[in-house]
Amino acid sequence: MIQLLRVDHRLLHGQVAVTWTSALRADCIFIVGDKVANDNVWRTTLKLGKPRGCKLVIKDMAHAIEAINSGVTDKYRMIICVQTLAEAKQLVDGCPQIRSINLGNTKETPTTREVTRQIFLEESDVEMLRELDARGIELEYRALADDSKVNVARLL
Amino acid sequence: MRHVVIASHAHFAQGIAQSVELLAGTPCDVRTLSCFVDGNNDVAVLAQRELDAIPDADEVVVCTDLLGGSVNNEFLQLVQRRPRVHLLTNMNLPLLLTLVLGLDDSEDLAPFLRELVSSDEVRPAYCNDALPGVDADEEF
Repeated sequence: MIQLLRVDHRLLHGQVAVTWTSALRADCIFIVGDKVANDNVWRTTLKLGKPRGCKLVIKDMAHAIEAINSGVTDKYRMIICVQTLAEAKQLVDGCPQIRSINLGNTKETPTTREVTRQIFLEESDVEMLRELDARGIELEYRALADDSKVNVARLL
Repeated sequence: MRHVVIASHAHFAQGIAQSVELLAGTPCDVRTLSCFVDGNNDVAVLAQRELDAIPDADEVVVCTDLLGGSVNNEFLQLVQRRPRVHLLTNMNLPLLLTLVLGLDDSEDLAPFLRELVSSDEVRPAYCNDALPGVDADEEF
């Protein structure tokens, strides 16, 4: 059962490893992305910092979609982490069971605008969010599990 | 109800409490006491005041920075005088995070705190030595 699909450019870090994992009683963290899956140093770093009692699986996008749709992930209380909204959309497009996206942290660049303290969006992200919202996908901003959900579509 | 008091020499208490809040939010009542700065010199009075602000019937976990330091010494005296006060020292961030996130999970605090201070998660770690031990990629 997928507990959360989180967009966070830092992937697995303090807020996710400690608070989200604990609040959702997750037993599996699934990190998805072509970039991280092909970066040995980054993978080792993430594995060293993984929370106790949690499985950590890292896959590229194609293999991740295949794994989720095959049902092998169903037995876990799973948190999926991706770096970008575009990757979250790829997962949503590829896996019909995913109906909600949590926006945690996205990176600030010279071309982004600030939507919340931790969320910065490119114009292309805004388009993507509008499309996902129109399809009925929940888009919620929460930094931490206990924060109240903010509907991102309303902030656009 | 359960409360946490974080106390230290100088601003460590305030700083580490901010780190806890950034990572974990505010799942419980956390008070801080930064001693020997900002005129906070009479640790005995300040420690007593912190505990006096908490109802007698409530449980308190006090976390201090250093065993044998004066901040811990003052609270160590109060622990002997007042029931339902638990004192941890040599605190660090993983210890405080596990504490605040798990504070309300167990009926009896003492076994939870015993396990907390002896867990590997709260010990300092030499990462260089841990690197070769990182497991192979996990699969579902």
